[in-house]
Amino acid sequence: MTAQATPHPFAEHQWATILQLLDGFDERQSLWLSGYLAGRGQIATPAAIGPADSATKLLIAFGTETDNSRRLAETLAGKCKAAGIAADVMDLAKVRSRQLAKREYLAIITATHGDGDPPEPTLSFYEELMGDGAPALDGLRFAVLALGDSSYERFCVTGQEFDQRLEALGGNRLIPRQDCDVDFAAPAAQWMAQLLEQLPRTAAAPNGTAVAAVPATAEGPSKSQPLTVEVLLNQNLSSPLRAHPIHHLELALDTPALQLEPGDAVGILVENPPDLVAAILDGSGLSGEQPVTIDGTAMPLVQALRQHRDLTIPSSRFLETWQALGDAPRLAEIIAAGTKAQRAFLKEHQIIDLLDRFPAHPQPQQLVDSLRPLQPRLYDAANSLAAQGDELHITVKAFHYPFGQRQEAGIASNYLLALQPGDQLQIYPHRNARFHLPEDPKLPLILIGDGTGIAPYRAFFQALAHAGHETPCWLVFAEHSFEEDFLYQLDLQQARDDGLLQRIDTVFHQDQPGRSLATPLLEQAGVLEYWLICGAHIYLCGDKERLEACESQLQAQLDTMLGQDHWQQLAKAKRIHRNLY
Amino acid sequence: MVERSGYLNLPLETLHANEQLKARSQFLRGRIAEGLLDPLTGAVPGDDPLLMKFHGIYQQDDRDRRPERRQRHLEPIYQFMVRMRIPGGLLESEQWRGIDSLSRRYAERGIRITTRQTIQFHGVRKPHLRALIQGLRDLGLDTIAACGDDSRGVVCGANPQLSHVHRQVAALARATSNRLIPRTTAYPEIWYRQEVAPADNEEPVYGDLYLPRKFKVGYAIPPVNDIDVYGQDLGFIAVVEDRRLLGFNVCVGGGMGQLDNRDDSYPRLAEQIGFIPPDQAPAFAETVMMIQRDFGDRQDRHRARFKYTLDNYGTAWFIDELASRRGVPLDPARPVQFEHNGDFLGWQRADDGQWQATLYIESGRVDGPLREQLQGFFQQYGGRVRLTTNQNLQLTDIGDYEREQVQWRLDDLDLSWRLQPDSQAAHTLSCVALPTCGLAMAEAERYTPRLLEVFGRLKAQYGLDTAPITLRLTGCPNGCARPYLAEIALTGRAPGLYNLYLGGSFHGDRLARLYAGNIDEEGFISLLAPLLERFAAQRHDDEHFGDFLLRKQLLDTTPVNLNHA
Ligand code: SRM
Ligand SMILES: Cc1cc2nc3c(=O)[nH]c(=O)nc-3n(C[C@H](O)[C@H](O)[C@H](O)COP(=O)(O)OP(=O)(O)OC[C@H]3O[C@@H](n4cnc5c(N)ncnc54)[C@H](O)[C@@H]3O)c2cc1C
Ligand SMILES: Cc1cc2nc3c(=O)[nH]c(=O)nc-3n(C[C@H](O)[C@H](O)[C@H](O)COP(=O)(O)O)c2cc1C
Ligand code: SF4
Repeated sequence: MTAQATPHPFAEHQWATILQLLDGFDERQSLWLSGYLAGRGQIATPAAIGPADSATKLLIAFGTETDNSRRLAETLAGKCKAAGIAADVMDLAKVRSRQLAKREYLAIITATHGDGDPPEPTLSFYEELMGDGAPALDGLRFAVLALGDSSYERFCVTGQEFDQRLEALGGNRLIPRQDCDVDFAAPAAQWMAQLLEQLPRTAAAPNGTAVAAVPATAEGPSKSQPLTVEVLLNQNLSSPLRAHPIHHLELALDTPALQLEPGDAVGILVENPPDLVAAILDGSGLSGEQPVTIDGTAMPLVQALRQHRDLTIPSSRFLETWQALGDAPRLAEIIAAGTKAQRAFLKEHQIIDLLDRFPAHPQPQQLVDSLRPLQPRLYDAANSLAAQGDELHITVKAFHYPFGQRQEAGIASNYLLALQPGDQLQIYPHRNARFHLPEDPKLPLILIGDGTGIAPYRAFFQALAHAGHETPCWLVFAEHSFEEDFLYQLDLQQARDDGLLQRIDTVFHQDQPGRSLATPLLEQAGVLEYWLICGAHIYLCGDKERLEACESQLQAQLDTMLGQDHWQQLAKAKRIHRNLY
Repeated sequence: MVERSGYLNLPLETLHANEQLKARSQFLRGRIAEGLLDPLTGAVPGDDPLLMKFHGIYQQDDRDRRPERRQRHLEPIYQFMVRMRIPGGLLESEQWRGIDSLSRRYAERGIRITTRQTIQFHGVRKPHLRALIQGLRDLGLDTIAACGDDSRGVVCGANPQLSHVHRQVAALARATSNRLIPRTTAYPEIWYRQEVAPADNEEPVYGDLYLPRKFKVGYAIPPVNDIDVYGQDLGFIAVVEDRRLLGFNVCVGGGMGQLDNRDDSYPRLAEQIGFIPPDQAPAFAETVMMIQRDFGDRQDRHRARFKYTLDNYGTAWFIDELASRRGVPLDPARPVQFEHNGDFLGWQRADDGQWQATLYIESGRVDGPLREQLQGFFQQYGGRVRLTTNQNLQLTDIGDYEREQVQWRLDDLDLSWRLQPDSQAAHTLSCVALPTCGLAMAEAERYTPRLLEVFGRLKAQYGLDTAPITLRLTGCPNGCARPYLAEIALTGRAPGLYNLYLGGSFHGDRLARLYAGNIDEEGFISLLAPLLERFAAQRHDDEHFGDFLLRKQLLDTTPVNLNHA
């Protein structure tokens, strides 16, 4: 508990009760409480030294897509008020880099999204700050809290970039940057506590209502209030013989309120496979009945493991707990070896491997606390809600990956593939503005997709047809075989009849080995150039490796044809849209 | 300038849509070449499939899989049936070998010998069509006019006892086919990708509307009516006197196809109208075809067959028209005598001392183990091949010295039983029907083994095991296995349901009558059992079932309808 760190004004018995109370709380609750108390503004603070001018005021700026960073920013604001530190909160989307020059104190809380990209709304700020036009920031004192997910290759890079850039522009670090994995609550709380100690107490905490407790502004279903929907259909689209089939799921939407543009995805809360849960229980010598609390809710361990904890990817926290539990000198070494070595080690082990290599007997609560929260998975909307509001379609491929000697089955995808009509799912909208259609429906679209990458394009076609547009589209699609795996072939034929799909090139690896996604585009470089002259936007969606390979081939081709960094310029002009996974 | 019927003078818009399509097609080109490259579909878009028929290629799909495909957001499994043009059904053994290997590379379900003694490939996918057609070209074969509104494959019967005559007639059949096929250079352009400068008049005979409908020519050599000469639009019956071919009796207006829902639609026997000298036959065929071109119905496609043209205008009119176009009247027909419409099975010694062996092929389908066995056989076989209109495979021109060796090759490969098949099987024909035929309403080829078993048991009950009875099964009333000329026929109405026809003659010169509608297997058994029982008890020596039914007036009942489907 961070509370122990700070000196307190309480009598011992009061303090004991407080501690006792606090111990029951999980991180989120304590964060909330701190904000709440701050809002009540009833805690005695050191005498004020006059009102704060905006310069000395702390600017808490957040960059978010799914609101975690916003919530943390507001929590921090609450803590500041509680501590009598003048602060205001801003979305980086609204911050201009010039304003920073006038500031003395800056705290940035930002996520990383896409493939190591800044959160979409903060893009313009990001470009300003990174660009040559960025202001000198001598005299600025800053701290950065980076949110991320260690299962992504480029972990927390946006925070890292801001951190380095601010220093490069002359700023001084108040405290070291904190990188957070998906279980960010605890490290965030520590970072805040350290930060508060570095900030001057300027003003008496004003009376007022709690800031921190104000939830994210987004109304309608959200990650924290998901929507429960019923599965209407779960249909295999691909060859029945295929080891990793691709399914089309139709979900019933009674809430037309669901905000989903073509190009957006939905987050889906899934469950771990029972056999994996059983293996974890065996591996840690626990039976499933014991009660544990997750986010303040009590439940049997088995349920916690099935619904709330990631049972594949270990975090450094897991190493620490396990090292503390039994004497595993090897674990101690790895922890000592520092984060780089740790991440390398973690990449080669899944939870089950660690249980196997380093047997230990954790308490049920210890086990759940050492595991990462089970993350929702994202799936692109495969239909246009404007065209058909009462159904949501998604396209899911059974994901498998080699892990050491064995094949691992993806958790969410295989869970989804097994669903039956009538089953229920929890979902929430995930905005992916980077991948929306251009404002101007006359601009041609070059849609490059691999496998499930076709999903958002199906939504595009439906939306455009529904709006009566005749946007020229050129689809380049790759799959296994023409006859069995031409995903949504009938829908695509419809799109052609609707006057949208003007060119189509297919690459079926089984039928024409040796061709790749880029091949047809390179073969028709002239046409491609013409489309780009007409202002075409390029969309890339689907398997990360394949589409990155495709992109670099296109980039090379166009740069030699149309001049150095032509591709870069397209990207700058936001005419290249990526949705890779 | 010959007189033309109304149709060709009428404005195009008033004619059947297919007529307008032909007119627009620039002599059968359409947009086939583009369609072949369309990556979004395995089909050839638009109306072009209708044009492709003239090139011998039918767009089909696997009907078994339609529903499942729709659920998977996939189009049907489009595929093509490719029908060769093999006048008289004669092949060299290396052509057979080549066809076999092409079928392995590009087709599904092996090789299909048809009731017009040619070969069909099924299940060919669009991207393979050109390669296949070019492969056939390299074997000296093509698919021109194997389908479409034109002169179809010209059939030619066999008679090993008159092998010299047969060679002559077969040559005339080939000449007739070559003379009657379209002249457009669309075929080499599209399939061979040849740049041919089109002639100023691409279709001197057909014109740009081609025929109103398919037109079928066949040659028969009595006493064998294997081709069912009375089922042809134009039939030539060889007239032979002490082993010399004098000429042909000509018969016109045969046809099987009918629709169950139209009473102006019926099968029709060809009528014998006269006699012509041998070498006039090809030119004669062209003249008859041109009369049909000019007078055939171009608005009501179903009534467009030559048989209806004859009934519209009357045979007398036709004979005059023919005389005026030929400049001479027809000589009167000579007496001819048919004995059966099956094949000579087993070994036959031809009068030229050469041997031939006919292998029974069920429904003409050469696939699976049979295909492997035959491949093995053909590796060492140097003789010729003749496909029969009864869907069988004949090995011909086998010298005395080879016969022995051919026989044991057949023994080794377990093919020799096909020389003496069960006699019922030998007299049974069935059309392709499901899953490929777009018009099938019921199973045919795939139901044949079961039907043979059922019918065999039934015959056995009355000791009729060895009595040959012609039995023909089709998946719809179109009559591709010439059911209406059989002693017993089933034509498909709906899955599992058939119309039962009885009373055709054993040599195919009398139409069977509808005996019962919409019957299933039970119905078939219960209706035939009593008839077979009486046949067994009361038949004269060598009396055939069809003749017996007539003699006993067992068919003068109004058709039963067991099941109002
Ligand atoms: C393969 C074959 C049956 C067989 O099992 O061997 C056959 C198969 C088909 N026939 Fe036939 N016909 C075949 C001999 C016949 C015969 C027998 C004959 O010609 O001696 C007839 C009856 C004689 C006649 O023409 O009246 C025949 C009358 C039809 C008809 C009805 C025509 C009519 O005027 O009513 C159709 C339907 C049509 O043309 O509209 C048809 C149509 C068809 C089609 C092409 C179905 C279609 O139009 O989509 C069938 C292809 C099925 C498949 O998947 O292969 N087929 N068809 C025969 C191929 C002959 C050849 O090599 O050229
Ligand atoms: C914006 C967005 C849109 C998406 N849209 C779709 C869609 O429309 N359709 C679709 O099917 N998917 C889509 N995805 C992918 C989807 O979200 C899931 O990532 C995918 O289904 C796999 O999830 P899973 O739970 O089955 O696999 P997981 O159990 O999550 O397994 C994947 C995990 O395995 C690990 N891993 C992967 N490969 C290896 C390896 N070689 N070695 C070691 N570890 C490895 C990774 O760390 C990853 O966390 C989308 C993703 C994003 C971000
Ligand atoms: C589509 C998507 C892509 C992401 N890409 C990365 C990444 O490249 N690197 C990373 O460290 N985290 C990545 N993350 C994880 C997020 O940074 C993490 O979930 C964070 O808590 C989100 O914060 P926010 O709610 O403020 O947007 C990604 C998350 C999503 C949904
Ligand atoms: S008879 Fe009917 S079902 Fe049989 S092949 Fe001919 S058209 Fe098809």
